[in-house]
Amino acid sequence: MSEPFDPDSFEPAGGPQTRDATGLPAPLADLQLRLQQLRPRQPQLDLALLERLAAGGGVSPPRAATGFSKMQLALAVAAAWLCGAIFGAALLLSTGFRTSDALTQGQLAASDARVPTAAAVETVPASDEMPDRGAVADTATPQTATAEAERQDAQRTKPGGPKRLLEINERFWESPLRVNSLRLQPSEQVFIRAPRQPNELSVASRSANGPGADATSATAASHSDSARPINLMQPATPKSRQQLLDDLLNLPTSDLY
Amino acid sequence: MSQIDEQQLRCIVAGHAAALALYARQWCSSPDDAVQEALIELLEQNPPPRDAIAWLFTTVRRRALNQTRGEQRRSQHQQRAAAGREPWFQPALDANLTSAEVEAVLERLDPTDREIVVAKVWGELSFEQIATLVQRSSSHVHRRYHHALSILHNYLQSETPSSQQPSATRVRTL
Repeated sequence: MSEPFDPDSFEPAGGPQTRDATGLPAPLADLQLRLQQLRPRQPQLDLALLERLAAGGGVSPPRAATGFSKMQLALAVAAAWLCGAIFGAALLLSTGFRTSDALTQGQLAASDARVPTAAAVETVPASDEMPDRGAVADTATPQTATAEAERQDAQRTKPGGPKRLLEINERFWESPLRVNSLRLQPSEQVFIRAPRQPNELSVASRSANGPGADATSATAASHSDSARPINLMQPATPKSRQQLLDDLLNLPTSDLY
Repeated sequence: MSQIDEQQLRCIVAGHAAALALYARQWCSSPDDAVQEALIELLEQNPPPRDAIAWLFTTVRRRALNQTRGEQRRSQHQQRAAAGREPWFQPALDANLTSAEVEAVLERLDPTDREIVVAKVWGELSFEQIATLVQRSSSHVHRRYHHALSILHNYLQSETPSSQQPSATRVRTL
C-alpha cells in the first residue's frame, strides 16, 4: 500500500552542502555549488492541460456540451445498422420465396398440361389388378411361376405392392414436379392388363416400356393364345422389394421429362 | 487513494520541471515533450507513486530514450535539430560559470556519469534514488559521482587558461 502523496516531502531538507555531498573534498563541493547556481531552462509545458487533468476533467469536452456521450452515439448508430440489416434480410428472403413459388407453380401447370400417351392410357396401376391377377396366377403355367412368386413376395412384405413404392417415393421426393412426372411415366412397376388381346398390342406395349420387358417376350409369344392375362412387364429374374425400390430411386432425372 | 491534485502538480512543475527537462535533454532533442508526457502519465496514476519525483525521472528517462530511437530513424532531422538546439541552461547571473562551458564539459562526460551528475546536482535526488534510476548500487553511484566531479573540475581548470590562451595570443598577434 503506497503512502499518500505529499509534495513537500520531495523538497530536500537543507542546502546542497548538508546533503549527500558532505563527504566531498572542498574543491568538488565548491564546484557542485557553482553548478547548482546554474538554473536549467524551464520547459514549455501545457499547464492548462495538466491542471485540467489534475482537476479530473479529462481531455475530452464535458458530456453536457455535446448532449450525448460518444458511447451513446455509437450504440445508436450500431442499433440502426442492425435494424436495417435485419429488415433487408427479411425483405430479400420474402422476395426470393415468392419468386421460387411462382416458378414452381408455372412448371407444375406446364407438366400437368401434357397429354398421356397411348401406352400410358393402357397401363393400369397394378394395385387395381392385384387380387384378380393373383387369382389367375394360381392356374398359371410353370413359366409364370417365377412372376407369381415375386408377386406373392411383394404382397406378403408390403400390402399394395408397387403402388406402395410410389407412395414411398412421393414421400421421399419432395418435389411435386418429380412425383408428377413419375405418375405419367410408365415404369416396370406398372402392370399391363392384357386380356385376350392380339400379340401386336402386347409387343407394342412391351417395347414402349423399356428393355426390362424384353426378357418376357418369349413367354408372351408362347402363351399368346392363352386365355389367361399375361404380365408382360414382369422381369425375367425376380427382384426383391429392396431392388425395386432402388431401381425406382435411381431413375435418371433426364428420363422423367 | 486520491490522485495528485492541482496544487501538488504546480509544486512539482515549479520545483522539478527544469531539472527533468535537463535530464531528458541528454538523450532527446525535444525534452519538453518528454516532461509533458511524463507529467500526464503521473496524473493518470491511481494511486500515485510513492516517490513521485524519482518516478518522474524514471519516466522522463524512458520517454526520452523512446524519442531518441525515433529520432535515430530520422538522422537528418536530428542533425538539423541538434544544429539549432536550445541552450541547456539559463544565462548565468554571475560570470563564474557560463552555460556554454558547463554544456561543453558535461558533453565530455561518460553518459552514465553525466546522468548521475544531472540527477544529483540539478535533480537533487539522493544517491539511493539515483541508484534505483540507473540500476546500480548506491556506493557505485557515489563513487562515479565523485569521479565525474573530478573530471569536470579538471576540465574547467584546464579550459579556463586554454580558453584565455587563444584570445591572448590573438591579442598579441593583432
